[in-house]
Amino acid sequence: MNVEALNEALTLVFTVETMFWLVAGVFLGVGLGAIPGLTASTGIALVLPLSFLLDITGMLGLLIGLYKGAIFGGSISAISFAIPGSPDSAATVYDGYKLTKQGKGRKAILIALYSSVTADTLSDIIVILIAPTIALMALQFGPSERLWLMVVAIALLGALSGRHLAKGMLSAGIGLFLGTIGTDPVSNVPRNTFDQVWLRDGLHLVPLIIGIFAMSQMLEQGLGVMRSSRKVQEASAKLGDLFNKKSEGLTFREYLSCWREMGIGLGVGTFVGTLPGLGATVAAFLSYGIAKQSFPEKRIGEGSIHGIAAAEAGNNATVGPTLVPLLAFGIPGSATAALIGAALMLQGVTPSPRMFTLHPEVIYALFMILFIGNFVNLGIGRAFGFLYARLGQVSPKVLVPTIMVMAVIGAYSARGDVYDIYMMLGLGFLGFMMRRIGVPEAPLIITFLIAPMLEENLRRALLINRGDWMPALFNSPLAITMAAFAALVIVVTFRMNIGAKLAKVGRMDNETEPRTK
Amino acid sequence: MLSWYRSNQAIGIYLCIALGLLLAYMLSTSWVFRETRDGFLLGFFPLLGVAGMMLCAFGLIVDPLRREVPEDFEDLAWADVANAILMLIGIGFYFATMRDIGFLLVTPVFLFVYMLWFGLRPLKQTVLLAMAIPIGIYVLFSVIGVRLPNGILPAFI
Repeated sequence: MNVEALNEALTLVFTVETMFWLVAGVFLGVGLGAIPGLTASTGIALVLPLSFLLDITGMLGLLIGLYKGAIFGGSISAISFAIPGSPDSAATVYDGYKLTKQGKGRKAILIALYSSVTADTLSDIIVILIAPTIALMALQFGPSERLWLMVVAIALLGALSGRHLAKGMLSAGIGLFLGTIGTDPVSNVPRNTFDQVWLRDGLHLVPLIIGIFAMSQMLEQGLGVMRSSRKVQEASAKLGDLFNKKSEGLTFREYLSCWREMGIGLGVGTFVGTLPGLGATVAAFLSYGIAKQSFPEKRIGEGSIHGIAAAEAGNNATVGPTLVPLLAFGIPGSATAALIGAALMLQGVTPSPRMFTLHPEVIYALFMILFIGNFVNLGIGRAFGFLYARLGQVSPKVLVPTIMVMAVIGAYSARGDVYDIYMMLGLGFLGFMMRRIGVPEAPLIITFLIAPMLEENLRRALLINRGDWMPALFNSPLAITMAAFAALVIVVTFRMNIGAKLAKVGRMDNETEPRTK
Repeated sequence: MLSWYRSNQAIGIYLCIALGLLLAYMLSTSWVFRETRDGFLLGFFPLLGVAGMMLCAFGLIVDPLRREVPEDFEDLAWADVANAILMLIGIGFYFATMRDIGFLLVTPVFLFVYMLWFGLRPLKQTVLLAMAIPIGIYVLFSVIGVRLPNGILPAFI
């Protein structure tokens, strides 16, 4: 352990400023999560330009706090209105809303909070233990192994992030193409600029992220608002129960009785979170499904706190592990991890295994923030969770134009470049059409981020092998194994239609059908 | 037959045509085949991206899910696409005027028009929110050190 770096991290993290941004991030995140249609990715995309103004620990506090808060916040509207704040909390609807209808909404929100924080904390400890070991292994990789590792990640992302392999890979292809616009990373020659001088620096991350994740979502929501109004009236009548101190809360014994479900959530969430492409929604439904099958006597699905505990532990346990591929290999495993990686890059720190030796203080600070964030989440969730339920009632007719204004300011304030705004609007339309035809956004953003590394590693491998492609690509048993694994992932996904099967996990038949958005 | 135009197979065909045009454009440019110092073709990776996309688009045409119509594409009307484009044009216009005239003068107008467009009523509430939200955003961004365009406002004060 690098004691000097640890001390530096302690002095960086335990400052009023970092703590303020961590609290602000969680506060904002729970609120965003509680508003149907707004996800952690949208929130991070919108606050990303702010990271220019903060120091690195403040930025990490804001983004990680927002991420943790948003994943928990999604359960609030799932429980209160049967409309999950984000798809990650859709599994919580089954039991959560039934408890609300029985007047036990307070109990449901409390078990969601406690199981989220418990699983999140324990999975963070696992991350802190395994990430450095994996990074140490990754440091032994040469350019061809690194190249194939990225190809494996792209294959996994394409295969698992949607129900259609071709669409997942298409998204990765778009990301790769967009990532090559600008200057060639090795020889610094402009290319793929369509003869536009303003494209010489390439597509900037901030307008890309805001366009794909925030603006496209707002276009979608805007069209939804024009067509219909959401039906929250029925649940509103029961909302008063949340504020009634006399309504049934959660006892410590009840919390402890959910330890098995939280354990399932922890195991599934940690594993799923580490794999690129799956994410919190699959983790929540898998944990919920396993718990339901394993303990039929607990009547999960009929308004049981055990169902909420399994689903919420499952989705929150992915938060820390989703950063493992980013920290250990420099390859983001999810859209949110990609956004956190992008924020680190904007601060001049490139996520890679070398980060453990080059910037150990940032790694220690990140681990501390991951851990402390859970207690902040607990405090804010406990104090304001019931108030946040009211946010689900904020009209999208007000929210959508306001977020559009914030997106414009965010994209412009990053560099003050007019073209960034037009780029953001164009990419917003691209994101909107991608959503409509079922093309996932995550592979695009992740491939965009790793495209320069992919190219650099291929060219380095070719240089080492004097331009000979075969030894450059397959110079070790590990490189051959990874190449074979990438091919296997694509073939198996195509043959067995795994993406569609995983998507079905998120559409489990039940009496209460969750309504996303 | 009408729904075929929205199927994965049709989407694959549209994409193949668009990507074919992009590929033809790229091949007509000189930089694609220029060799860099390390002997690598400058256009290798951009072409790899286009080739990958074309392969996936071809996959959409022939794979087992080709007849499926994407859920969110099924009910997408031309009016929706037109509305989405109109929203974007409106935002572009808002940005252009906001830079010159100022955030606090233009944003209330933008918010009022969009809230009204989305159906927020009564009118009094729309006006009040359209006035209050920009002030809130301005204060928030000023506190965190982001200067929003003041435009012509200082001339009035």
